[in-house]
Amino acid sequence: MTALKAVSLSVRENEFFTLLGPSGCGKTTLLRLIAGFEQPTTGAIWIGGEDVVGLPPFKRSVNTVFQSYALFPHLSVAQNIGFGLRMRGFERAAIDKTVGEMLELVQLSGAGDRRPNQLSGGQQQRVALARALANRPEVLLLDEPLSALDFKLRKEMQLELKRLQRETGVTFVFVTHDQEEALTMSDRLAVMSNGEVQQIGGPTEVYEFPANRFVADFIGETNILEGSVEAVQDGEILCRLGNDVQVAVRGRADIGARVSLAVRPERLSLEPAAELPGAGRLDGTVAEAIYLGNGTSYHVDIADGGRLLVRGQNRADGRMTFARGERVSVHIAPESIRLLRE
Amino acid sequence: MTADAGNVATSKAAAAARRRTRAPFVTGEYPGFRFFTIVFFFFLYAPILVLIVYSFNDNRSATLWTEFSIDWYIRAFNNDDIRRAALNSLTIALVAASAATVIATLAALILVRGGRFPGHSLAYGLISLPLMVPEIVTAVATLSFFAAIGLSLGLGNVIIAHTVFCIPFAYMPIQARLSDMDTTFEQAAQDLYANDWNAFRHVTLPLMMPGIVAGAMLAFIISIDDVIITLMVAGAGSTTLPVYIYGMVRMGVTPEVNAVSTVLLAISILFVSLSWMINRRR
Repeated sequence: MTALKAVSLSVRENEFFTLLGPSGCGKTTLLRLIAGFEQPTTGAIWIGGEDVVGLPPFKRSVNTVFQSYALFPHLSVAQNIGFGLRMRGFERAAIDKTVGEMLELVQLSGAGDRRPNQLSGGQQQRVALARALANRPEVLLLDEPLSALDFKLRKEMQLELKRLQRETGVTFVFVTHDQEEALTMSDRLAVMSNGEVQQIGGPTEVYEFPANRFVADFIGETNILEGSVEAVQDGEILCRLGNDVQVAVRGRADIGARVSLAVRPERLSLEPAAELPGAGRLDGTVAEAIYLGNGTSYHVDIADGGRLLVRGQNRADGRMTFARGERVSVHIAPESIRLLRE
Repeated sequence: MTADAGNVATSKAAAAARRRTRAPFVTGEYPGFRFFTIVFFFFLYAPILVLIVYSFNDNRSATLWTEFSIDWYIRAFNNDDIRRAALNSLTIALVAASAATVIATLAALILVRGGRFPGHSLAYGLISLPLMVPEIVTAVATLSFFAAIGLSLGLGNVIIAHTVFCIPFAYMPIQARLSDMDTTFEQAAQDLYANDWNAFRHVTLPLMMPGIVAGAMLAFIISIDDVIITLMVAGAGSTTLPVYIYGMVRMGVTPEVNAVSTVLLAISILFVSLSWMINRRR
């Protein structure tokens, strides 16, 4: 079985890099290859100018924060943090000094003598981070480390991780299936699926310019529209969507080709139903209006088939702007439409 | 009509829900269970209690209580044969249990962590099989095997025989412990610059320890208790305490036998409690 197909990516020094994808996409396998827990059948892995393929984990200057933390239950917090240095034969005094610094870094000074099972989940998480960072690795690997924490603590630890990465200057490679987490934390991210990298880029790039259907669908909510190409001119194509709506989109395609276009729900806007159809406008009926607190999500059934998701602002007076069953026009700004590679 | 049917259905569901709140099979609520339990524990422990009580009896009789005394203990301690037998028992149990524990630990490491290899299931079965072989068969087989190869090491013969039948007893708790252990701990050790030996020494072994100690205790108890195999294998100078007691009983049960048995019982209880406490600490 092939867990990873041809994957080629480079992580820059000092970067918070995220591997994002659904379970089974190969992101954890890739992480385990970097750590040395698994060996690739072909290819090379370079860390700081050295090909580490064939090297066991203990000969790589890479440390891992495990999903289960894997803190040694028979050792104290301080002994856990000092474990790596002890194995590398550091002096007792040097180990104690680093352990003290690390405890301070993760705000757990005074907890050094406790056992891991006496700590809360969030504290264990910090110890796991300190244990890995104590070795000053070139790369820190994090395997879904926040998945066991509750929502508030997870938000807190996301900021904490960003701070630690900035303060230590260590390159972080972070694995997650949570797209929001990936967007929040990463300098750059690689979106993976089926053992392949679908797109690499910064959060804005990946969200605003998804490379293909998978990325558009996996990150955030997306409306996918089917259209046919009617005209092509310098970097733009003119697409016809279902009925008489025509939109101009940046990209390349052949005349007559069927194409998929993506547009984010928050880039669509609703207006009261227009008397006359116009350019860039689709008529429909509100099928669902779901109040979300910081906005309202409208499901709009389009007159000639299909359903669009529209994210609207809420009014300060708390009244719904559009109600279920109301006839509306969906306005699409042409510059927010993306042509998708299949 | 439909309303009625609906009501019946609801009340049935409610009744089912009420019934479900009670445990489905509460043995203690059945008549006679309490009586049976008391009889069971009486037959299990009354003889032992009698044995202990009469070991403190100031009388030759094992049935007639006269006065409290520890004379039989003093007499047993001053009996050279008993002392030699006790020393033999301890020597055999300590050496055999230690050897069996080392072998069982290695076996568990290979069978649990060594990956699949040809004969994996067979090895697993063969290790636990001796638990099911009738002891008298093992005893006779060991006796004729030692005779056939001309092995005559005195106490050594007994130690070898004990080591062999102690291995499965030591193996079971060690294997159970190791199977429960997450391999992520060893991966974390390796990730933190521990080579294979250091990962084993600093992480795997300490985490296995409760299982190893429990296995060693169990092996020790099994060895110090054994009669049948020892009876067959032990030569003149290597009689153990249980075999000696067996010999004494054939002359009639005296309070001296009671005293020695009580000491043996105390040692067993001590070890079983220790192993239970260590296991509870995880």
